[in-house]
Amino acid sequence: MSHAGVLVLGATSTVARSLAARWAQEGLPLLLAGRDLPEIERVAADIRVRYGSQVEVVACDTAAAGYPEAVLASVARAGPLRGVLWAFGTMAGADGSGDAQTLRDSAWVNFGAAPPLIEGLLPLIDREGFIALLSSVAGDRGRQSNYVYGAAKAALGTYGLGLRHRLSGKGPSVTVVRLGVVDTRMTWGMNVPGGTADPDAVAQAVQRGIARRRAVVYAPRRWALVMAVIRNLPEPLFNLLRI
Amino acid sequence: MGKQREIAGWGHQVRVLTDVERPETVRGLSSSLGVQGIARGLGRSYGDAALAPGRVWQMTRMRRMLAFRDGVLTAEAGTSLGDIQRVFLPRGYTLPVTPGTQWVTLGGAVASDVHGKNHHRAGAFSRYVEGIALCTADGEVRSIGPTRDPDLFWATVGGMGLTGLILEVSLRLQPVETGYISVDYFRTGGLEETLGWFAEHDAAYPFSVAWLDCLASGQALGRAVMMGGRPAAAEEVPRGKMAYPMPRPALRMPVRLPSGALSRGVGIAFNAAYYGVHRPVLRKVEPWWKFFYPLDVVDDWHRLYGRQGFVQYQAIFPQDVGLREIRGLLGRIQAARHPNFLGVLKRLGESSPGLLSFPAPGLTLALDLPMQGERTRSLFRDLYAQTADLGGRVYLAKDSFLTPALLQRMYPRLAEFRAVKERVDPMGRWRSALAERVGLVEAP
Ligand SMILES: Cc1cc2nc3c(=O)[nH]c(=O)nc-3n(C[C@H](O)[C@H](O)[C@H](O)COP(=O)(O)OP(=O)(O)OC[C@H]3O[C@@H](n4cnc5c(N)ncnc54)[C@H](O)[C@@H]3O)c2cc1C
Ligand SMILES: NC(=O)c1ccc[n+]([C@@H]2O[C@H](COP(=O)([O-])OP(=O)(O)OC[C@H]3O[C@@H](n4cnc5c(N)ncnc54)[C@H](OP(=O)(O)O)[C@@H]3O)[C@@H](O)[C@H]2O)c1
Repeated sequence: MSHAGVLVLGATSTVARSLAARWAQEGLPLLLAGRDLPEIERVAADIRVRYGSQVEVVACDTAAAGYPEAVLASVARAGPLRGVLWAFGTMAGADGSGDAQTLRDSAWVNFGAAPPLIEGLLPLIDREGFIALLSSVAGDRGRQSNYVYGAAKAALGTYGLGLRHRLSGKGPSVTVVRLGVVDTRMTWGMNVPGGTADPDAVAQAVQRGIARRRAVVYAPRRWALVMAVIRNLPEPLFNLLRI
Repeated sequence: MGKQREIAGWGHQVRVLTDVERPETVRGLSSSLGVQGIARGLGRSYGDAALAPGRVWQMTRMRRMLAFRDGVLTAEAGTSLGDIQRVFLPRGYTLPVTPGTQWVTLGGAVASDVHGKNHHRAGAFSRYVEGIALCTADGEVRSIGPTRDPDLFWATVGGMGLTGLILEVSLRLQPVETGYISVDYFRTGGLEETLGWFAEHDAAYPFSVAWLDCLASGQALGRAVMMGGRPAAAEEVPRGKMAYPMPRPALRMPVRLPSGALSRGVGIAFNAAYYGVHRPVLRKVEPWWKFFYPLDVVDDWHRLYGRQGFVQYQAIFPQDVGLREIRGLLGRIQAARHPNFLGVLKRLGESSPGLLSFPAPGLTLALDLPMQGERTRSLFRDLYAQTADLGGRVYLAKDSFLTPALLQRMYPRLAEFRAVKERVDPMGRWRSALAERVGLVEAP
C-alpha cells in the first residue's frame, strides 16, 4: 500500500499519455489502466525509462463481465489515489450512422461506464486530490457530424459538474475538460478548419486547469469562444453549417 | 475516413497527395498493413525515399522508449534523435553517431545508415545498432541483428525501408563527460589546402568537417572553414554553465521565400560571409547543438528555397580520387553557373557491411542547389555520370535523379540486396517512389 498517484483510465489515449508523462515529471506515481494491456505496458515502459517513475498497469475493460468490480479491487490493492483521469472515448457511430450495438457502445464508452467506476473509486481518492473527465466541445451543442458522441460527452460533463457540486468542501475537486480538436488518431484524416491542436500543448493546459481546481477547462482555450458562438447561433443560420 | 495528405521530401521539389497512416499503437499499426507502401520518419530525406504511390506509414507517433540497460536503449522507430539526446545527455550518454540534423527518427537513421562528423573514426550508425524489430511483408515481426539473420539485418541497414517497417531499434549509446565540444577552427585558401588538411590533421580529431566554398573563383575555389572537434572535458565547461546544456526551442521560418530568392549572387555573398566570420581559433567550446546541428536553429528552413524547392548532390569518392578530380567536379558546377549554397566536404572511414549503405573510405561532397527545372536536371546528369566514372556513388537519402543503370554501377552489392528482398518481400510490397524510379522494385 504505497500509492497516492494518478489512476489514468484509458492510458492508450494520446492526450492521456501526454498528461501521464507530465504528472510523472512532477514526481507522481502512476497507475495506468485500459483494455489493451500490451500497449499500456509500452506506455508504462516509456515513462519509466524517461522519468524513472513508479508506474503500474491495471486491466480495465469497460466491456468485461466483471466491470467495474474487478478494476475497483485491483486499484484498492494498489493503495490510495491522488487523482483519477477518465480518458475513454470513441467516435464510432458519432454521426448516428452505426448499427444498434455501435450506438449502445458509444453511449457506454463515452459516458455510461464512467459513473459506476468513478463512484466506486471515491473512497480511494485523497480529499485534496482530483478527478478529471475528458469531455468534448461536441457536447456543447448537438451537431450532425457527431451528435451521438456529443450527447454522451455532454452527459459526462453534467455528471462531472454534479459530482463536483456534491463533493465541494468535502472531497476531491472535479474538473470537466472540454477538448477542442486535438491531433490524435481519433481525428487523423479529418479536415478541420483552423487545424488540430498539439496533444502535448493541450495536456499542458489541462494539467494546469486541474492543478487550479477549475470546474471546466476548455483546451485549447479558443474553443470556449468558438463554442459560445456556435451555441448562440440562431437555428436558421446554424442549419446552413455543415459541421 | 480519408487520410489523403500532401507530403514531400525535405527538398520539397516534389509533393504528392497520398494515403498517409500515422499509427499510435501497435494494434493500429497492424490493422493498417496489407497494402503496398513505405515507412516514413520525419521526412528529412531530400528526395522521394519516404514518398510512395501506395500507402505511407508515418512512424513519428511510435516513439516510446522501452528499455535502457547497460548503455543500450531500445526504443520505437519513430523516436527522434533529438528526443534521445534530451533524455540521455543529462544522464551522461550521447548518440554514438548523428547526422547534421537531430530531427530524424531511429527508423530513418537505420534505413539510411546515416553517418556523422565522426565517421572517419567511429563508422556509420549501424555499428551501434544491436538489434531491430522488423515487420516484414508476411506480417511477422522479426527480431534481427548483426548475429540474428545477419543477411536481413545488413539489407535493412541502409535498405531505405524496402525490407519492411522497422518497429524498434536497440542502440548502444556513448558515455560522455559533458554536452560540449571543443572545436578548432581553421581556414584554407583553396581546395589543395583543404584536402591537405584532411590528409594531415583529420585523424587527430574525433569530429571533423569542412564547410566548402564552391562559388569562390580561381585559386580560391574550394577554400573552406575546417572544423575539428573533441568532446569537452568537465573542466572545459564554461564557468556558470551546466555540464549538459539544453537548447532553446528553434525559430520558425514563417513564410516561403519566392523561388529564385536564393540566387547565385546571394550564394556567393553567403559563402564569402561564412568564410569571413569564421576566423581561426583553437579550443572554442560549443554546446552540442551548435556544433552538430547548426541548421536546426530554424525549423522548416527548406522554405528559404521557395515553392520549387531544392535538391542536394551528395557523393562519396574512392580514396584514389583527389585534388584533380574534385577540382574538376567543382569546375563543372561553376561552369554551369548554377546557384548553390551549403557545400560540405568530409573524409569518411571504413565501409559498413550494409548492402546499400552509402559510406565508404574516401571524400564525400555534399552541396545544396535550388531546383531550377531542366537546368538543374542536366547539371545532375553530368555530375552523376562523372561520379560513376570516378568509381563513386550518390547517397540515396539525398537523391532525386538516379537511374537504374547508374544505381547498378554505383552500388556493387546490389545483387545481394536484391536476393534478400526477393526472399522477404517477393511480391514487392514495400516500395517507395525512389525504389520504383531507380529499379529497386519492379515498376507497377
Ligand atoms: C539538414 C540535414 C542534414 C543532414 N545531414 C546528414 C548527415 O550528416 N549524414 C547523413 O547520413 N544524413 C544526413 N541527412 C539525411 C538524413 O539523415 C536521412 O535522410 C534520414 O534517413 C532521415 O530520417 P527521417 O526519420 O527523416 O526519415 P525519412 O526521411 O522520413 O525516411 C528516410 C528513409 O528511411 C525509411 N524509413 C524511415 N522510417 C522507417 C521505419 N520505421 N522503418 C523502415 N524504414 C524507415 C524511409 O522509408 C526512407 O527510405 C541530413 C538531412 C538534413 C535535412
Ligand atoms: N482528439 C480529440 O480531438 C478530442 C476532442 C474532444 C474530446 N476528446 C476526448 O478526449 C479523450 C482522449 O482523446 P484522444 O484523442 O487522446 O483519444 P484516443 O487516442 O483515440 O484514445 C481513446 C481512448 O479510449 C479507448 N477506447 C476507444 N474505444 C473504446 C471502446 N470501444 N471500449 C473501450 N475503450 C475504448 C481507447 O482504448 P484502446 O487503445 O484500447 O482502443 C483509448 O484509451 C477521449 O475521451 C476523447 O473522446 C478528444
